[in-house]
Amino acid sequence: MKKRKIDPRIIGLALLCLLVSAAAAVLVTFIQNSCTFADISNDLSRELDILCENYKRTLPVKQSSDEYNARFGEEFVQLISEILLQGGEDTFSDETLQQLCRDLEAENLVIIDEDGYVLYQAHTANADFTWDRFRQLRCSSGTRESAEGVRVITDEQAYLYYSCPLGSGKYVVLTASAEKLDKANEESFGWANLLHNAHIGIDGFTMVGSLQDYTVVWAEDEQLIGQNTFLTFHTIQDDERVNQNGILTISVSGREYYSMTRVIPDTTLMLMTCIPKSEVRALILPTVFFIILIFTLAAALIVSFCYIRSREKNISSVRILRRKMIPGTLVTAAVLIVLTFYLQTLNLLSTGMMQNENNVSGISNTIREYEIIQERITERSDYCTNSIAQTVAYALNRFPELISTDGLSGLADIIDCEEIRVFDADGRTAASSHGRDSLVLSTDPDSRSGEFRRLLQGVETYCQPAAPDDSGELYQIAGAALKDENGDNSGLVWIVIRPQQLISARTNWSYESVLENFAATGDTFAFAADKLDKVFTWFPSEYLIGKDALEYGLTDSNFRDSFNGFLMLDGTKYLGSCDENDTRCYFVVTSRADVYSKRLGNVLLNIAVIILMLLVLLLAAPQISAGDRTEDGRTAEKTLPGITAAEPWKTSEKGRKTIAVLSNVFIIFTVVVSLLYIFRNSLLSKNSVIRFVFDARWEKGLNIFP
Amino acid sequence: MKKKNAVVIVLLVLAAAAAVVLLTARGMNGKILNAGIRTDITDWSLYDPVHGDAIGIEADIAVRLAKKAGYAGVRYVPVTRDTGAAALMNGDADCVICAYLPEDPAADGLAYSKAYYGLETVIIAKKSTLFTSVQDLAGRPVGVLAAENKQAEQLLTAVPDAVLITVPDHHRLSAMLETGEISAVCVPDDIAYMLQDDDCVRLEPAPGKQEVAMAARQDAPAGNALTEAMNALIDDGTVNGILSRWE
Repeated sequence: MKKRKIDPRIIGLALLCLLVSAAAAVLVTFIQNSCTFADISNDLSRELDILCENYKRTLPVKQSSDEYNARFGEEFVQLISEILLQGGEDTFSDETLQQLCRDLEAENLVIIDEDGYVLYQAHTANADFTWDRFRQLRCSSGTRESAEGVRVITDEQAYLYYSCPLGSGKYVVLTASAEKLDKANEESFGWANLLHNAHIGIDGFTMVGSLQDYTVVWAEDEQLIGQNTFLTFHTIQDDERVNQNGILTISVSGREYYSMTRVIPDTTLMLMTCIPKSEVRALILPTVFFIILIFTLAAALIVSFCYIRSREKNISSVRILRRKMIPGTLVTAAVLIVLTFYLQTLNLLSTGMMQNENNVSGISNTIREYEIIQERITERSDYCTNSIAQTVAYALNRFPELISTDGLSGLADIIDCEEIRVFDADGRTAASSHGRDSLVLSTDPDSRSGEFRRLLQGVETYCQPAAPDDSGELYQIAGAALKDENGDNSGLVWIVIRPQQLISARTNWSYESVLENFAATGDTFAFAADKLDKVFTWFPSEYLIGKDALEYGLTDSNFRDSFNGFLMLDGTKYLGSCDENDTRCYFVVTSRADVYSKRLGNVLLNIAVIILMLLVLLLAAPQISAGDRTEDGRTAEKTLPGITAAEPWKTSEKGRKTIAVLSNVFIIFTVVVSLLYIFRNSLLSKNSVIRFVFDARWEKGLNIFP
Repeated sequence: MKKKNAVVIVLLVLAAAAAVVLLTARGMNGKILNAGIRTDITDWSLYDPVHGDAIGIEADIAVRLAKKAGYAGVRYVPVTRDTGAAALMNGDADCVICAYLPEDPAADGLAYSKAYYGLETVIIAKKSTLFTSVQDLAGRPVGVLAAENKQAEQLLTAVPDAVLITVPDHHRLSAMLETGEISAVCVPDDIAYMLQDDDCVRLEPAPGKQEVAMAARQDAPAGNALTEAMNALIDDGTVNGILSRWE
């Protein structure tokens, strides 16, 4: 029985196949890495651009909210000073102030002289008003207006101080706890508003840091707030270690992220947006894996085919074998190209859909949260308005002579309202700040004015929900019952105000602002349409608001909760996801062109690699297989290494040719890799695996496979 | 054939050796520069004790200085204005990157490089104090840092009857300014950056400036080499480049 030794050609072909596949793997990985990296870098950068723009847009809202909170304190203290003065200076005493604190639910009231020494106090003063810090509270410019408040916020305490001159060098100072008002401030404008849905990828997020001490000012994960960005994440804006793309790898709560930092212009704040490394890798690896797998199989098929063909009788030379191989190779190439295309598309589509789905449910949740915040702000605003109304009632109860046009208009100036009106016990106007005396409370208990009749029947206060007037502007009425000396009801007073805080809350925490602040990159955006009549209720391009969505490309099937797929919008095809609530459907869409745009460059490069490698195979495999064929068709002796005495394998005809072929392949491989190395600075991102190897940072040396 | 093989083999071995050397080479003298830097001054020096890592102007200068003076690497030694000189004298640090340049550099036994930056002395007060100029501080309590006595001196020259309250660190200083225990603070510009917020105002005119330079031990052999290297970095604009990157 003839011993069957392994044909060295098979070994040679197998080696060739492995070499070529390895080369293809390296090149395809490199392509995917650098393409993805360039994409991520662009996305992060665009995201930061959008966020900085959004921040600028929301600044005026924050300022007006700050002003509102300050005004409440200032109005309150001014009313209190009015009450004190009406009583007269000889009523100034600790007890008077204690009584006022109790009745008006103030935290503390103190009367000081112009040097800051306490003359009378309800409770022990929280601060030493003789200090220069509080000069603002005791340097009146001669008017009777309250001074700008002073905030003192440290780790141990948080207070606001408001003061108003009482004449003859005395001032009354109101202490308010900053926490209550600050919560409202935070609710009116918060980083949450801006950054909640601002991230790329699915698990990405954005943080805000201070440039003054590098601490995290805001992050979704509250545990991160206050941490030093350098000490905790080992990253900082302007760090030299930031690579060319501007991307830095950081570790947050044990997970690794790619992050990019941007200073918000004209502030001492910076934004850091991050995407998990694992998510980026997940974009790359599956495609690479499948392409390489299929390529290796195809390469194995080709070399096997080549080997088999080479044994046929009618193959007389390498060139002929090569020609015979061409159709098979072409078919394989075509199949590989189609598969690459397909896999890439699949990858992009599935990623795009996941992101859209995630984003739209994020938006939906945020809108629900915002509705709750609006409720809380309304409560807070109503509370403030009610307090003012009650304080006015208190003043009128104590000093009924104020119930006149002059008295009421004086008070109206202090609290900056549209109108103060006093009704008698029958609901007829007794006096008003305007002087118009004819208004009578309607007897219809459901009408706007009729609702206030309850204040004549035992209810102490009532704050009506804000509603638009005839001109469409929002206004609100709050009322409080008036009592005579016996404690019986003597009528009511109401104040009419423009509720600034509610107005800004309705814009700032509206669902429109969530959609506006939705910051995604590329041609991705969000919009909303009414669930029933399918009309656009919000769209980035304003001209579509109010139009019938069905006339602009959407279909009824799109208006389904958890719809994920393609839809038409104004002539363009989009990949979209839908989420619905009670009245509206929210959509997040990405234009199809945008989803696929990342594909083309990638795919072309991959195809180039495949073609190159197949060419190598086409060159080398026949050489190895048929290298022993001479031109005249004779088969040369199969020489096994070491057996033939005549020539050692290395110098035999076949041996030399095999070596020549293998060295050709190796040379090509080396040239490509050398080129990569030489041009690595311009071709490769610092974080790519290839670069890592070249820079000798990989601990395993050249073995880049896990 | 054999000779050619031998030549090839020798060349390959040489190439391999060269590659190994290039990949693993450390500095010429293999020594590490112990650079004294501060630990928590934003933009100037933030030190991470866990990793022994630092960022900021001082860290960047230290790295460049080590390279220029032929060191293989840098090790950061945390110092403060108080402990810098002692660290130099007992050898813990080879140099202190950001030291105050005294009027008579030769007097204290340390070698100084040229001055590379002038830290302005800044007076900060809260807006609610209604102060408009430095002179308003007459007789008022002003917070200064224990280690920053140059600034205190400058303030007293400008406002002789200001009452100085010495405080150990800038966090405490910030809290006292906020509550009003002190009416203003007098600090160098690098610390002022961290204390300032929207409620604050800088009072003019600034009472003075303090120049900073690198300090090293005069009598240590490395001392002069370091000073020369630092001066070279200043002259060729490297230090200015670093400063402008962090501004």
